Amino acid sequence: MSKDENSWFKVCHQEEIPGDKVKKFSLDKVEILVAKSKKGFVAFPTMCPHMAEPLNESGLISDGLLTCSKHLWQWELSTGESKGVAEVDLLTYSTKIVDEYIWVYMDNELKYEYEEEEDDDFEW
Amino acid sequence: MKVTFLNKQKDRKTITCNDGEKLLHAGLRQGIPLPYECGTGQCGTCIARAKPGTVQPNNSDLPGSKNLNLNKGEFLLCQCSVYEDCDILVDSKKLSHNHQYSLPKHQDGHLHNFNIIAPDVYVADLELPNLINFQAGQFFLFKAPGIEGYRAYSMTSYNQNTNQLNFVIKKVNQGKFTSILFDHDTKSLDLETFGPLGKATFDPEEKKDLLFITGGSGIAGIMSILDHADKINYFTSNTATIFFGARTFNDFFFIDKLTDIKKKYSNNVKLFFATSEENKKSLPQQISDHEVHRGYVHEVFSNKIGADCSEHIVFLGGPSVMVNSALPKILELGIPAKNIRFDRFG
Repeated sequence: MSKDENSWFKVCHQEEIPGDKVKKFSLDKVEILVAKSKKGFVAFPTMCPHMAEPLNESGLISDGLLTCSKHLWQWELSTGESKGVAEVDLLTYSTKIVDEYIWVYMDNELKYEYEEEEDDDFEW
Repeated sequence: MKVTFLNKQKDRKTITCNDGEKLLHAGLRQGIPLPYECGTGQCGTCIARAKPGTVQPNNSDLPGSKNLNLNKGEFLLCQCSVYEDCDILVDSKKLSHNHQYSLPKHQDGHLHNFNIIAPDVYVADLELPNLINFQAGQFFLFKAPGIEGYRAYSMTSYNQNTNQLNFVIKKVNQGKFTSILFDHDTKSLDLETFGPLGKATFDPEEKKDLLFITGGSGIAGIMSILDHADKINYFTSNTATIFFGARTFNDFFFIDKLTDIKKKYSNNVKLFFATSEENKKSLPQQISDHEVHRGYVHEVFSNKIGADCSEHIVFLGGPSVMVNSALPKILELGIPAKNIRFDRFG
C-alpha cells in the first residue's frame, strides 16, 4: 500500500542527531524520538514498552544498541528487535533521508499494548 | 483476606494477606515472584492494578508514584494493603516460585551496637529471633514503631543460617527513622523487619570477574559480596576491580576490610578511591597506599577501567545519579544487561 505523502514529516538535519542520544520531536501533536542506528536513522514512540519510562531521558545508545537505563531493556536500533531481558520489540516509524534531512512517516501514533488498555478490557 | 494475583497470561494464584500487610510482602513471602526493586516506594517497579476501591490508596508523595494512573486502579504493591478479598493484576510472566532466592519473611528485630564509622554513618547489628539464609548483595526492610513506611538497608557481611546481620545506616536529612538513631542517642531499637530482598546478587557459580562501582553507603551490599567471595577464596581464580567514591576522605569507611582483601589477593584485586571534593595533598595515612583520584566515582571508573571487561559482572551500589552516570561507559565496554546488577533505591 502506498504511503500518503501528507503523512511524511520533515524532522531535522541528519547532523542534528548524535550517535549516542535520542532526540524528541513533535509531529502533529504526536511526540516521537529519533536516533541514529548502524544502518541509518530510526524513529519510535517516546515511552519504553516496559514501564512507560520516557526514553528521551532514560535511553542510552552504544554500538547501535538502545538501552533503557531504568531496567536495562535493550533493542537493536536498526531493526527494533528486543535484546537481553527485553520482552517487547520497539515499534518504529518509517524514515527516509531527502537532501540530508530526516523525514518520518506518521499517519497514526504507534502505541504499545499497555497504552491501549482500558479498565473494561479486564474482567476483575 | 484472600488475594488473587493475575497476569496477562491468565495465570492465577491465590494467597492470604494479613490485615494491614503490604501486598508485596504477602506475595513474596508466599512464593509469588512479584516485580519489585526497592520495596520502599522509590522506584515504581512494583506497579499493579486492582479494581478501584479494593486497595488502600497509595501515598502519592513517593517518587515511585509519579507515573501511576489512579483512574485505572494502578498502585504500588510495596505501599498498599487491601480492604477486602480482591484480584490484583501484576506484570509477572510467571506466578510460581522459581526457588532462586530464600523466601523473605516478617520478623521482629533488635537493632543495637551502633558505631559511627564516618560522619553521619553508623554500622549496626540486627538480631533476629529466627535463623535466615540470604544471598550476598541482598537487603532488609526496617519499620520503626510510630513511623510510617519501610526503609531499605543492605547487609554488609555474608553468613548462612544466621540471625545476626550487620548494616550501614546513613543519616538522612530530615529523615524520621535515622533521626531516632542519630539525634536521640539511641542505644538500641526494636523494629519490624521484612527480608531478605533484592536481586542484585553474587553467584559464585558464574565464575566471572567482578567489577564494583560504588559511592558512599552504597558500598554496604558490595561488602557483603566481597565477604562471600573472600570466604570461598573466589579471587584466587577471578579478579575484582573496585571503584569506591565519596565526597571527602573522611567519608570513606571499611578501608581496613578493603585493604585486607587487596593484600590477600594482590594480583587479582584492584582498588581505586575517588573523592569529588578533595585532592591528594590531604591524603590520610589509611588510604595513602592506595590509588586515589580526584573526581566522581563514575569519572574515575571511566578513566581507569581497561577495555577488556565485556565478560565481567558489574555491581553498582549508590544513588541513582551515580548508577545513571556509570551506565553509558558500562554499555560502551560491551557488558550485557544480564551482567549489570543494581537495585534502585531512589
